[in-house]
Amino acid sequence: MKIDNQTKQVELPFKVNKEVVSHLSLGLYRNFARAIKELISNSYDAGATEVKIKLDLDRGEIIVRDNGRGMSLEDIEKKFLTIGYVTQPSDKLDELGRKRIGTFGIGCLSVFPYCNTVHVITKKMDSDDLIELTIETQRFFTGTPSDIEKEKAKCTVHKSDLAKKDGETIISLKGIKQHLIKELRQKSGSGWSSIDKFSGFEKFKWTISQYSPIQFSPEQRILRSFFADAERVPMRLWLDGKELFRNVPENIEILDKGEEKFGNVHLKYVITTAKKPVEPEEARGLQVRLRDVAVGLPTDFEVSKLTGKVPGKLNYISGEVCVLDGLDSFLMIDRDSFSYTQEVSEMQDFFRKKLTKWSDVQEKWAVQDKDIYQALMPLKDSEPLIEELKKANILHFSKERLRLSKEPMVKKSRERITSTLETIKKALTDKTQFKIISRKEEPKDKQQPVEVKPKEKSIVIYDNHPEFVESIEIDDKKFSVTYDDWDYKKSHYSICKLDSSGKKVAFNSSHPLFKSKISEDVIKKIALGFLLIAKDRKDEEKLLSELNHLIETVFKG
Amino acid sequence: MAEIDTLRDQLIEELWLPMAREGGARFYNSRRKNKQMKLFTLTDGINFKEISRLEDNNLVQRGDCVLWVSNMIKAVRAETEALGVVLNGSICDELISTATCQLNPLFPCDILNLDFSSQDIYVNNSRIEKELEKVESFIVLQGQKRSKGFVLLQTTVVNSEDISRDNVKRVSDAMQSSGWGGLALDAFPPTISSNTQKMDLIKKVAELLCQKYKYNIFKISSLSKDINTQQQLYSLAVILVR
Repeated sequence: MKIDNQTKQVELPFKVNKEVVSHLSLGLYRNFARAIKELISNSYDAGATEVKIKLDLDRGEIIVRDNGRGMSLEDIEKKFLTIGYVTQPSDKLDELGRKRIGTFGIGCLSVFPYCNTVHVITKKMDSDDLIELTIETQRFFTGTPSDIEKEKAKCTVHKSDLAKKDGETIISLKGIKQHLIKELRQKSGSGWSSIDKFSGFEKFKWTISQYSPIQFSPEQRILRSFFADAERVPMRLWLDGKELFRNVPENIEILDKGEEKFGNVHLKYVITTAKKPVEPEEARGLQVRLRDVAVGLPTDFEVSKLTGKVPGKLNYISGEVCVLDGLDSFLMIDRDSFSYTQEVSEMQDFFRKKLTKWSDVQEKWAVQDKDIYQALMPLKDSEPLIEELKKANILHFSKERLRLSKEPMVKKSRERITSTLETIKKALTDKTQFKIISRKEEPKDKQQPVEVKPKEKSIVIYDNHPEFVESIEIDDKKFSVTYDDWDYKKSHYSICKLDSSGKKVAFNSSHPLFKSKISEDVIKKIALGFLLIAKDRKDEEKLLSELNHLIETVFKG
Repeated sequence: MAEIDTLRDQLIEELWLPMAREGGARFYNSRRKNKQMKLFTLTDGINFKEISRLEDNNLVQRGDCVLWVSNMIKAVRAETEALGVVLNGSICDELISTATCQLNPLFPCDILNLDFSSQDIYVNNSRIEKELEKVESFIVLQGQKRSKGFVLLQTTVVNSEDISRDNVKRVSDAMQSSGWGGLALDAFPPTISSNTQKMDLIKKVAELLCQKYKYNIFKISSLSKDINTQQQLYSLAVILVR
């Protein structure tokens, strides 16, 4: 190779094209509500205790106002208008006991694609100046790209009307894009199964509430206090005059909660069940939060994919995982996930196991509940008892969630026939940890047949309650029913027999017909009918044997 | 020197709220459980305290108020509170009782909080005369919109600036009303210099305007708070009925 002696050295500057703004803002924040969340996160970092949002679709404007520290001209220049301004994650808490959310300095870019103008009014605490700033955002998306350093934002400084000690920042997005307005005005579809069925406004509200660093509502007392940090001043958020709180599915119950450490990662979690599929479906799984801000949407940590098993009641589960320490530096730039580290892997594995466990537990509950509901079906008014059993946590799901048979008790193959009383006793003994106490005394007036005593962990059953007296009617004659066992081969009364009074009929529980899947009512009525036909006839024994044989032959076949 | 905001808070509790409650009971007793009334307010655009207090007392409803603030920045702030319609500008320059006025479609209201002390009124002289003119315009607008009754809360800073009696009369008499012989203010000197007389004049004008526009006074009450030795925050509350 020939080396030219005439070579020269030059220094070429790196240049940042203004399209970088477009790439960054469009690439990072694909959803308008999430872009607004970035502004809210900025307010949180600015020490705001109150953030108020007003959506004015008629004017194509959205305003976000906070009472945070506000900005000086220098702050605006060095932080707000500096793209990629980096604040190192820090363990230090600010005066409100908060850790910074934003580290990348691109929060203001998030809203650029959605409006024509960003208008900022800000007053820094302990200053009398109020600064007004206008950014024409569309210049970054249209026309010929040019050097970003040539772009200017016009600032005006006024005297503020606020008290000197107060800070404030108001960001107005003007000229909101028409497609967004149309989306926000969209009416709701049928059902609440997905946020896509919500009205445009509700979807926006749900997304903001899901992502923002706000609190649980006062009604969610347990969740609120579990995740509360006494040292940290919370931020409150209003949308169109109504305060927003974290989304919590309706009627949830806590399954599990606790604190865990995975290496340096310290977290708190709550796992809840809605006892039905969580709606909207976007809320299913566990919402991971870092410094109160959602990291992506709720996740099941890909439990089905990674365990090769589809937990049946996974869609009943929701909850929160609040990372308190240790992952500050591992948040991806889109804030939707963490980089994959040993701790993250351990954490994910832990929650996969938890989700599988609680799904399995609920599957088991569903089977138990089904058996108890079926056993209670013959009772005339089982609702009060069902409510008591629910309160005592013996029943977990509503009847509607379980596919119950219309028959009182679907007999399983080879199961012997029993009375309602025995069936209920068996179901409650097998399916609960409660002690079953049988009372033989006559029940008092208005006494329920079954009493649940959660404190004593016992269930009292009044054996002689009228609800348990079974009867059968044939030709307007009523017979009370009992069950007994005898060798059906050794007696012509192989299926049933009457007592001496002729008013009580005993059915042979061990007769094979009652172990078949044929409706026991049908067999009972035919067998009793034949018994009544044969009764008191000279050839009673022979006739009854033949009739019973006939039933056995027909139904066995 | 007392802060006007603090004094205004006292006026809210001691005068505005009791009179609004009484007005609500007078106008809506038989009709509504909560006497929620439509409010027009000249508000300071900072803390909106009078609205939140009236709302706390179930006298007005969030979203059903008309707010007037003196500049655009305050209007933006007010918008985020979602209290109702927000308008901004110089109230003294607004032609209130004309059909084209932006306030026209928003009236009548049940409570008119004409708190001029909340506005940045850049008027070199005749400030109170201009405010009285606006009060009359609002009463005219209420009449045009067939209001059967409302609570008028009128608040201003009374300071060393003199009031010209004849100027007040001339401006008012220029607004015609059938059968009205003009404002009778002869009991006052041509130039009103003492703060006590200024407050008496404001009250007297309000009483006469009620007569002029055929409203009866159901109740009238006033309160003044010292800002300093020379200035008072004066507030007058009137329940007008037809």
